[in-house]
Amino acid sequence: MMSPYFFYVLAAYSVTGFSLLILSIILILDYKSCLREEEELSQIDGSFDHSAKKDMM
Amino acid sequence: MSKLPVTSWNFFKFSNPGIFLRFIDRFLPWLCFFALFFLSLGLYLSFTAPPDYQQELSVRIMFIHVPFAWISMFCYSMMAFSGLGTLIWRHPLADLSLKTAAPIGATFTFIALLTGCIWAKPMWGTWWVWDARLTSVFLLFLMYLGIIVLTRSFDDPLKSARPAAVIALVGFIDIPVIKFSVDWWNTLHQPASLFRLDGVRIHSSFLIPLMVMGLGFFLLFFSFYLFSMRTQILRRRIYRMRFLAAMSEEFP
Repeated sequence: MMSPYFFYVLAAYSVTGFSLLILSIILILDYKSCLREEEELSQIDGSFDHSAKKDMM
Repeated sequence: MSKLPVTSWNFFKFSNPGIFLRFIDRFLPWLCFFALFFLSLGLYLSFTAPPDYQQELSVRIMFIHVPFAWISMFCYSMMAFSGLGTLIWRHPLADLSLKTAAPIGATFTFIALLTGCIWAKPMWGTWWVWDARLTSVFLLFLMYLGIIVLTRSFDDPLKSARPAAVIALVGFIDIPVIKFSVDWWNTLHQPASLFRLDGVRIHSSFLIPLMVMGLGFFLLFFSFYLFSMRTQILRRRIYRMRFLAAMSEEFP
């Protein structure tokens, strides 16, 4: 017979996994959008020195 | 005349974003690998642990709830330390560290609260009570949200550095309150079982999975943190590039 606590354990682990998955997806999408934005900026023919961006903050 | 050893590990060398990014690139894959390894091992140990004589199967919620509660407090302490770094040492990465840790800490605190509610229902007969421990952790969650809102409400990211640092430092008072709330007040939440002066009060069959899961989640937290730090450094560079581009258009 199944323990009455089984669904509570299942709910807790599912909620944790799902929340961590959402957080990972958000962090990855954020990183990808940053890379895309940096790429777009580098392609703009600006009059400033892009080669100096390595140590820029 | 004494000289500093040239080979000594220097914390401030990481104030250079380029060096810090190289550090992240080198260590992040290993960190992710070990996080997944310890979490897999921890999950296996959690589900093969014997049922508790009182709590039965529901004791397995402890293996996720407790590490998330630890990390929620650790993350906020890290943010307060970053706040000190901003205000005292003016470390260029301290502000980024604070801003990076806030959403991750908020998520971990949210999971700690949620798994706590799910555990409370079969054990206490209610999802939530406004006792000292639960209320102080909820307050911690609200402070995380407040810092996230504050850091995103300025157009210039540098302007939010000092107010966020001050709020993080002021809010740090909540961390000892959370820790000692179960000793100072009568709470429904059980007192500490691990970090006690009279020794650990958990049987090794539960302690070992708990520690392995704790290690795995700490490594996962640092993986998220370093990954997000890389994004924040890139974002700051983009802001700076846009600023320089605007300046060069304004003053050719």
